[in-house]
Amino acid sequence: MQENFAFFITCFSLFIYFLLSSIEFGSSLFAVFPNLVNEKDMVNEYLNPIWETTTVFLVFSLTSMFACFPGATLRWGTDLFTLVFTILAIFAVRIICILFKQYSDVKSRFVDILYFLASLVVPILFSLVILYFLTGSWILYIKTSLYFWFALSVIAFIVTMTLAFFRVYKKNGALTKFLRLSGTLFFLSTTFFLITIAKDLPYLFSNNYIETYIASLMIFFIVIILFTESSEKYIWSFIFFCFFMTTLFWALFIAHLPYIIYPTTTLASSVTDSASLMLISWSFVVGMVILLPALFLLYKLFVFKK
Amino acid sequence: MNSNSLSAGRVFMGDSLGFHILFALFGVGIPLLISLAELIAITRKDNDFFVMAKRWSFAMATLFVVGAVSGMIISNQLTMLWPKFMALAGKVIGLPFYMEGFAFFIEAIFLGIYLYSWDRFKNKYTHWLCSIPIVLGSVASAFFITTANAWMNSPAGFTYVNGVVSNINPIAAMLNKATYTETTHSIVSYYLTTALVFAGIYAWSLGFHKHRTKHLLKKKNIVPNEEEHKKLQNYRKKALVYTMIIGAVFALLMTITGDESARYVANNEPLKFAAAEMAEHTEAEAPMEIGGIEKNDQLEDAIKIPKLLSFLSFGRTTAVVKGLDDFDSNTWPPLWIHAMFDLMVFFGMYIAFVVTLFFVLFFFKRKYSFSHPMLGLVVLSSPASFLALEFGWMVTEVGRQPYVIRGVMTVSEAFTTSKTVLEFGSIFPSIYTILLILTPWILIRHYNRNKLDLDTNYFINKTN
Repeated sequence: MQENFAFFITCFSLFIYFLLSSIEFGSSLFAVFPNLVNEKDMVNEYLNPIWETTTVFLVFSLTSMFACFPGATLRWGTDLFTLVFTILAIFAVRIICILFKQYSDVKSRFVDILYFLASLVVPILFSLVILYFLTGSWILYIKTSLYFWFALSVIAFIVTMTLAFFRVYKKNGALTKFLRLSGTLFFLSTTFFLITIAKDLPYLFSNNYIETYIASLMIFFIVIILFTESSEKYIWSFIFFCFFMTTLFWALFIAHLPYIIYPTTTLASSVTDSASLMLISWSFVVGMVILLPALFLLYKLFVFKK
Repeated sequence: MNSNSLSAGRVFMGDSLGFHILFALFGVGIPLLISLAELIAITRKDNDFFVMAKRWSFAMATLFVVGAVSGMIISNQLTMLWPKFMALAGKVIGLPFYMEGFAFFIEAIFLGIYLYSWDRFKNKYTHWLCSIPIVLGSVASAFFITTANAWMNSPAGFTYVNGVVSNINPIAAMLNKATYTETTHSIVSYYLTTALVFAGIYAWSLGFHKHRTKHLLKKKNIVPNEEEHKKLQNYRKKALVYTMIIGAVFALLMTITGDESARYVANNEPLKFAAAEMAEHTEAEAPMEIGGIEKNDQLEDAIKIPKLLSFLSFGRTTAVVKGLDDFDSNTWPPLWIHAMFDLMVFFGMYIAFVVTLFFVLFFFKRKYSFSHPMLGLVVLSSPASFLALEFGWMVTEVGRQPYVIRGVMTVSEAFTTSKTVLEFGSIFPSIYTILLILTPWILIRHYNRNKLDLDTNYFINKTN
């Protein structure tokens, strides 16, 4: 039981990072194509106060993972050495670009393109990390169609999420045509990804009950999204897109339980000591009591402002 | 295991920590400087302090970004390079790592709010209140992460037998014997260094920058505006005195915590103490050996002050100080930490001297406190404070070698089995080099292009 709560804590911060960072990564599009929808300044206005907080979610996810499941550290710390160091290096390049873009008044096309590329490569590589936790290896899958569809799905998701968010935030209908294109690509690549999973990794969806309710929920959300799109209720379209992703995200993470790293490391064998976990759980509750109002204030001041 | 890889791993980790601390210290120090400056501005309706707080906030944001990215690299490097250490540490000392994440969060959220809401609140105290969580978040963040380091120096709260951890008490681990002295000494040093770096910048602009400016104006046949210049110099004087006051408070605290820290190490980490002081033999009435050159585990040409080491460490000249000969030589740390320790003390004393001299002159011969020689000494206190901090951390970390957790796990035991340490680890020193060049460049460029505006009255505009 206690390992499930630890798993929830870890996945919760990872999921928040996943949603927030997708908008942040995706907004790099506007750096490269500023005139496409004339949104560059607005993106900067959104990003400036927010992006540091988003990055902290990643640090927080890492510390959660390490504090809650220290028993898995030895394995993933060794297996992911090359991959994580590569991601970190590209992430650092991306931060250097942000420093240039946001904190100096230098306008450089080269920096814009580098920022855009780094913003795409990081999530593409990051999806390999998720694949590692689902399968126990990333090297084996790097050249497979499974990874191809997954990476494509992640990129399409990032673009769709960004466009959907900024369409609502800026009330910019011009984004709709691009959004429908990326949305279609996302749903197609995700479908192929799930089909490939069913074929290559059957253990992930071996529980018929979970499979049925997740599939039903996802289909339900797709129907709602299509309906809200056709009736131009864009905010609801965005909200239900987030719900769809939440279901998919939880499906992937819940599906490979009781393993944290398939097929050798289980949650139970790697979870921290019960005394530590008790204190971590209390810190989580107290931390959230402080954090959530602070986050609400941040978003109220800068994102949901009129 | 390849010893080259291990050495490389050590170097990469050392680089990361050495780089991170340069920026992390500002993340702790600048919020306090800004918060107090804004409070003074509001309570005294002093425009100059408002300008200071606002201008410094850009530096705070920029340095926070670099500190955050290097912090993220370190948190990953710890897991990647030392996975066995992290597997053990996660169980015992995972709690402060986790709580540090929350503190960092609060800091980041309110940093965003503070930076972009100067004109969002009608009541100026509301904006100032947003700085409080940044101050508290940053100091809490530093506290939690330092408790983890203190635990590495003074492991507690668990039993470790044949590679199995049991009887875990996370609170006892967090509040280990080294926690009090290490957290207070390091946090105080961050405030002191930040204050002196800012003081150094203002001392430079007050004493030396004007000549360069005048020279440039003369070259362009522009007559300098004396009144404008006077106003600017007054602002600089005010900023210098303010940062020196903060520096003086923390220099005093630094002396107290430094003494406590040395006594703690003498009592609880005698091997590190013996190496740092280069005490070769266990003896009563131990002399203090300053300087010297270490050759074949012996110190040559050092200045010896009889009985001083015993007195400073234990309060009695007759006290017995454990020497290196009391320990197995395989467990000795590198003895060059003696030089690091001496340099730390030297720069610490230089700082204390400069701060004291400045205020003696300020109160008794004020015009001399802004004279060129005095300002020059203040300028030099900036790099001196950085160096003292770096050498201090070197003594702490290198002095624990060959252990990563003192007496429990060696660095080589904790090291990864990955074969690509050299190839991948070397990327990060290059990134740090870029950031070390880029960050000051961004700051200098920003401040050169956004000249001081001392004419806007931030209070009249808002209160009318």
